Amino acid sequence: MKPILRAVSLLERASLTLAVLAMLAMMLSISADAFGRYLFNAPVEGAFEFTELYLMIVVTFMAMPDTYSSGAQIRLDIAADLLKRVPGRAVERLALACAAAVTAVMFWYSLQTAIEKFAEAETSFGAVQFRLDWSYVWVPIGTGLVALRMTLRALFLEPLDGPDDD
Amino acid sequence: MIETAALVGLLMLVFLVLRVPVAFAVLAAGAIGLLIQSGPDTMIAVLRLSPYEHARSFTMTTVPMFVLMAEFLSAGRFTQDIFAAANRLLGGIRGGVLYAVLLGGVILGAMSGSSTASAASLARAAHPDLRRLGYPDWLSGATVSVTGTLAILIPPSLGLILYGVFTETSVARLLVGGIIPGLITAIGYLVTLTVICRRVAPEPVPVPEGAAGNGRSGNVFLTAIPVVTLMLGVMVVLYTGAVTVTEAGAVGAALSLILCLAYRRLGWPDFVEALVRATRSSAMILSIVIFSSILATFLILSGVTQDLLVWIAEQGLNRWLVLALILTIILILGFFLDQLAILLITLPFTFPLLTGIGFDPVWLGILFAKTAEIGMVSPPFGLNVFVVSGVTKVPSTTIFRGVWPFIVSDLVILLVLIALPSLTTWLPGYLFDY
Repeated sequence: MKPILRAVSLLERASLTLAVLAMLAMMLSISADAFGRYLFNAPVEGAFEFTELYLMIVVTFMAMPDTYSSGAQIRLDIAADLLKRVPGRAVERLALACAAAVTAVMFWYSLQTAIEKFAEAETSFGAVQFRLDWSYVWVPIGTGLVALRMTLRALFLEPLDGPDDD
Repeated sequence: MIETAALVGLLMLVFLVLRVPVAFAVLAAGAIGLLIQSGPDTMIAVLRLSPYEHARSFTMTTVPMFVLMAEFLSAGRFTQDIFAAANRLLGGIRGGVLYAVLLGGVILGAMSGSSTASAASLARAAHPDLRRLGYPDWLSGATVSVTGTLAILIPPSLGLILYGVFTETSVARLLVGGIIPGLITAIGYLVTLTVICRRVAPEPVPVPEGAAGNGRSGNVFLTAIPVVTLMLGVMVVLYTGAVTVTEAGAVGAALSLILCLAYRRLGWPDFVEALVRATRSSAMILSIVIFSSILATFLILSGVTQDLLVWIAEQGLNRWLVLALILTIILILGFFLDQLAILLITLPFTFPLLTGIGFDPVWLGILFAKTAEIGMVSPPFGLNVFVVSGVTKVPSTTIFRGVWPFIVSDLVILLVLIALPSLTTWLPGYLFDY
């Protein structure tokens, strides 16, 4: 099981790295567009579409697996002590399995959409035409990794709150 | 329909109590609701495209950009400078370090936009001085916890930005609308602190012999001034319409980075750390936003809001009673959850309901933010208190002992804001309608 967990962690780290780069690119792209427009009357062509179609999607979905696995997602800890007394923390794992199932459904159907978009090879309108398929591909990658990590935790294959959980 | 909505609400509560992260609890409850309400085809259609469509929003880039600006300024240790400058200014008077915390909190609110982040930064910067000078832990912990909440009203408040994006209310109007309530809240805290320091508890609050320092050399004003100028600059270009809200965030982040580099305060590890923290925080917020849209779709398809509006009309229920009920729910949720999460999980239902019975959307945004903020410091689970407790190692029970006077002040201000909507709506009306 350890190689699988290590591989998932590696993929989560890689996707976070991509999201971090997208974050930096977002700041540079929007700022360059704003400065260009207001100071030199020369906006950056396609900055708006590039940010909307790619950078926002990458930041949202590629950082999602890491925010889940690292415990950076907000959750309610009001009953934490009580729930830890349940053998195997079975109730928490059952709830997590439900969330994993819904996330897996989202992964599966967003994957179908991405495949369709690649087949259609559509582009956006405007001065700079961006390929739309590369905008859709990040949703199944992000949600797929989250669903996988949730399933591993729900199925007792790793501690519920991550490796450091006691 | 109302039965299905109630079941979904209950399901979401169960998921939350069972420690499923908020984003995925909302997602699961919304998807199950869609399955029951409209069948598997509708659920699949919504899950297939809705998250993508909601994430693909240029307006939403406001969130990551303002978060990034705050992270750069924090990584560059400008947060400590703000407190140190305020402390240099006020530290010499009785209870002065606490007033410095308050002033620092107002400025930090304009930097961070997040209540918990602001409280954590203030705690890190101020608590060592407060303890060294003999301020009692209950008072210093409580002051830092409540001062952090100013970030949700003082622009650029992430809560108000998200409220605006989610409800399609003008973000600029909301941010301007938060200024007067934010300042009134700060004045309320100032009065409360003065009463505590000079009347109620004169003995435990020591009079410092001189201005407290933060252990760093150099003129703190010189490093605080550019940050304050940057904040004011961002506000001015935002309100004059020179740049959009989104551009203001990105330009602010870029200028913060330049400021950090100019002062040689950002090494490569700090830079990477700031980027990673900002990306994680943004993804966490954005995932709640996009998955809340699934819950919102379920509520629209179920027609429960319309049913309730009809029911309220038929029963002749007073709309102020409905507002009071919803604010009470938000207040209670504030005991357990971050204010952004509260706004996003309640808005799909509460916003159409309350605007449907005639309340102003900007005013509602400020009331929601203010109410959630009170919950953030209220016993037994006020999140800010736990954040400050975690940073300062002061037991949360000790801090909770000190927050009551501030909660009373907050409740009075909330009632004033409810009774006098013009305190919220006048400034945006003046700036944008004339």
